[in-house]
Amino acid sequence: MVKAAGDLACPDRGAGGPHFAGIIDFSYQHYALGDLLTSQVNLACLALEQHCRGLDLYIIVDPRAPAARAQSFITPDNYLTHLDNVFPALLVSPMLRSIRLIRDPLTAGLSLLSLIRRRVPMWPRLFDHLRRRMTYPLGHAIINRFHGRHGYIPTLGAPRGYAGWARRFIEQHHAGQFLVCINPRQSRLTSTPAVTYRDAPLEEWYEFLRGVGRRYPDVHFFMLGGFAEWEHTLLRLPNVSIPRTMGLTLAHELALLAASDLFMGTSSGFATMATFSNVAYVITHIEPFFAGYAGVAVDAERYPFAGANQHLVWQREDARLLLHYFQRVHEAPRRAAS
Amino acid sequence: MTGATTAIVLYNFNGARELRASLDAILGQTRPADQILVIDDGSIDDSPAIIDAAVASDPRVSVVRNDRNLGLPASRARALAMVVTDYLVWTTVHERLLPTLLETSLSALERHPEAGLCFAHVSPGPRGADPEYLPPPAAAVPRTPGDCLPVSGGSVVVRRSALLAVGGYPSDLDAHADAFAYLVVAVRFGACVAPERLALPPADTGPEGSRGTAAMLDLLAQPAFRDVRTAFRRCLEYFLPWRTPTLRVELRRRRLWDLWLAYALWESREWKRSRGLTGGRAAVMVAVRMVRGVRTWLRGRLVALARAGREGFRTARAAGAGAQLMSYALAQRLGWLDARTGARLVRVRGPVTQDVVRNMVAWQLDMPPSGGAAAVHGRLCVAEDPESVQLDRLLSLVCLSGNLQNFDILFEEPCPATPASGVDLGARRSLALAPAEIARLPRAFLPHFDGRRTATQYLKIAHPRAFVVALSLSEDDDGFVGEELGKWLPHLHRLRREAPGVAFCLLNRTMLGRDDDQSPPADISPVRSLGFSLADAVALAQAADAFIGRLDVFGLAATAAGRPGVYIDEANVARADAERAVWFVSEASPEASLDMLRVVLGRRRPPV
Repeated sequence: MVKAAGDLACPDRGAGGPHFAGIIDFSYQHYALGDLLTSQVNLACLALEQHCRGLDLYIIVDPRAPAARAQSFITPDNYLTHLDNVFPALLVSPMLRSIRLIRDPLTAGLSLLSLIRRRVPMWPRLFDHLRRRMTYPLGHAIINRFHGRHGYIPTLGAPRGYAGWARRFIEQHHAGQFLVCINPRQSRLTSTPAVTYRDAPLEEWYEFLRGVGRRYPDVHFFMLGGFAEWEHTLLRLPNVSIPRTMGLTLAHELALLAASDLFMGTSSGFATMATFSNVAYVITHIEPFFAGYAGVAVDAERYPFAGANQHLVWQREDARLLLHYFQRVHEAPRRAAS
Repeated sequence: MTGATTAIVLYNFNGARELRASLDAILGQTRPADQILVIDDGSIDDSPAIIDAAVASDPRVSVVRNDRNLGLPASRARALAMVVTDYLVWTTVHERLLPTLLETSLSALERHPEAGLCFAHVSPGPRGADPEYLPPPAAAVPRTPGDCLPVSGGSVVVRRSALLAVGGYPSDLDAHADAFAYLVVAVRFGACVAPERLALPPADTGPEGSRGTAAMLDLLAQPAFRDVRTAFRRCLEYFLPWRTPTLRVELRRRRLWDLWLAYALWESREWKRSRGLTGGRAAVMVAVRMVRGVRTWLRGRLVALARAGREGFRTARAAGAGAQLMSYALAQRLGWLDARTGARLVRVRGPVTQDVVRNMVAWQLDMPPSGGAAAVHGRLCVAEDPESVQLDRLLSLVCLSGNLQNFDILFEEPCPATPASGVDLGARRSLALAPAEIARLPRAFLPHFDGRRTATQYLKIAHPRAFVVALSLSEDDDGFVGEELGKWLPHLHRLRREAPGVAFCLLNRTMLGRDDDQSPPADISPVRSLGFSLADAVALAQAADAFIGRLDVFGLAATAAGRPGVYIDEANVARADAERAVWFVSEASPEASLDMLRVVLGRRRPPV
């Protein structure tokens, strides 16, 4: 069966209104977990405001120019790794209706044309897309505005298909435990280190993990992040599991994060996932310059749309500070009950 | 005039921290205001709750909410239209009114009803003295040299009719529109001056931007504001809110050169006086500043030029992309593009099993070689029970595929009903794996250099000089190797005792050895637990010396790379290729499989 690519790539105008189109073109957008997650919340906000019921993601990768100039380490010969790494992050929006990976420039053009012809609402806007322009870091302006108008934001959940797995995994291996996902950023251990001053002080984290292990035997930690992003010391801590050592992927990690009781970590992609979910979190070492993009004051205790157990910590973390916030969240249900 | 009514308008944008204190100060006036209007300019913090509480507790308080942040000028205009009292106080959440503001100001204004406004100025008299009336245009005449009574916006009680008569707050002046409007009112109607502090200003409002300054100077250049311009010339302190960019903007307007000259001289005198400079030293400092200024200006021009160039490039590129889109549209309309894309549909229902992942590759064997011109458009329909479908392995295969340039994953659309148009990935499928099919296999596995590097580095470090056998066993629905590994381990142990130079790399996920009561497997290397992704494991299957196990995605990858070994697939007819030391078997026990592997080992003579 042969069809025109334009017909294949376009959403229908259903009874509930058109579906919203999100264009993620990696020739100018970034292969970065945090940015992709923020993009999806932006898309969900815009879609809801336009009364759209679903979200169609158009992932455009031209193998000849697969990455933006800022990510020049991604080349035609290695883009598959980066694409494969971030792909599961596209499954976290509850509004997701379809993902369309387009590697053929002609099909990309025809798909865009079809969207224009059908007047499907899209983000980025057509002119911005044609100009290949996106300002990073992605701020919270759209999300804050949506929250101001409606009093809530569309949250992210476990990647589609993985919520059940996370439930089964926890029941089977960690039933009755207080589960904490952690992600102390360690860019210096990766093959492409960047802004290493944002990396977490690992010795402080080890001290914190050991301290919690002594005081709270019911608490178990999951270390999230790439296989390169942790030291072997973590393997020796009995209260820490590392999903990547079980052959699990980003999709499983995001599902575990969504199902856990608390997230603690440096400002990073996983912190973004926690930010836009209902999980309690403590995000440390946020860069002051990001305050402007997030629409909050430096030293703000939480984002405008955050819940009671979702904390921002702007200074660099140490073991005492981590323990303080951990106890604050861990004992919150007990305090509420008493 | 007696019994004059007053309104206080409070402007708020995200000022929750100071809002309660501001409201308390307004509600705590010794002479209460008749109308209290809060303008909330689209705040996204806790302000709405605080304002709602104030509205509920005091009937004089009302609120006007902007749907989005409209900014000061629009909010001012909106507020002015809603005020119905004789007098009005405009304040922001960052200012604090002192309790006697209304009492002091209104008593003066009731004595002098012709006055346009009353404002506080601390210097003229002792605290507690009676307010003084300055009739027009005396408000603009210096009382003493260097003391011009500039009207400070925060403490002004203005007559609404006077304010409307001068045209209200000029909309082009952003932050200091109130200061300008009050000056005009003071010049034209006279003003009462209270010699005490009646309001606390904000910590720092910052200077007006050059846009606001330019707008103010434009107003001064108009004939209608000639009287105000005269007041400005006599009393140059009035420029204080617009101070920073004033000189620069004035210089560009020929009509304002008289103001520019007077203001420049006044500024330089003020500057010398504040720093205690002599004439010569001041001249040197001015020269240094001028050089720095020119340098900054040049740098600014260069940056602006670069930015303009970049924007121009982007716009040109956008125009090119737009033209390309239009050419596509034209070509499509002429019917030139219809046959370029072939759509191939697959469905997946329920868990993504090992067979489903294998079939994702096997399905591509039916695709004819595209020859580079056509783009095969794959579609995966996950419409039924999407919550049980874990897509990570399929997504990895889509990335690796050289057949599927474009690929859709559809969650909520009904799958096309015609069976001819789609393949069910869960259906059992036998693979003939004829030479023609094997020749097509590599297109399903694009060269994955990162995986290849990971695999070869691992083999060099962990198993140097070993004969490496890739092993793939039956997986459960979550992709973990299950009980079958327990059956294989004793046989693998025996073979490794016979041939210590053999290393087995397990390509499936495993939880074995994770729990405390189980010892880690010594005879296999579980590479997926060592950071290998599916793509890395595929690369290892292709880099290993032999393969043994199921004809799953790893088995197909090893077949594509021509690896010798034993490939188990229940759906296939058993056959052997003795020449290449390849056995395809429909069923084989671990013992039988390893016997076949021994033949491969004997032929390859692994080191002992």
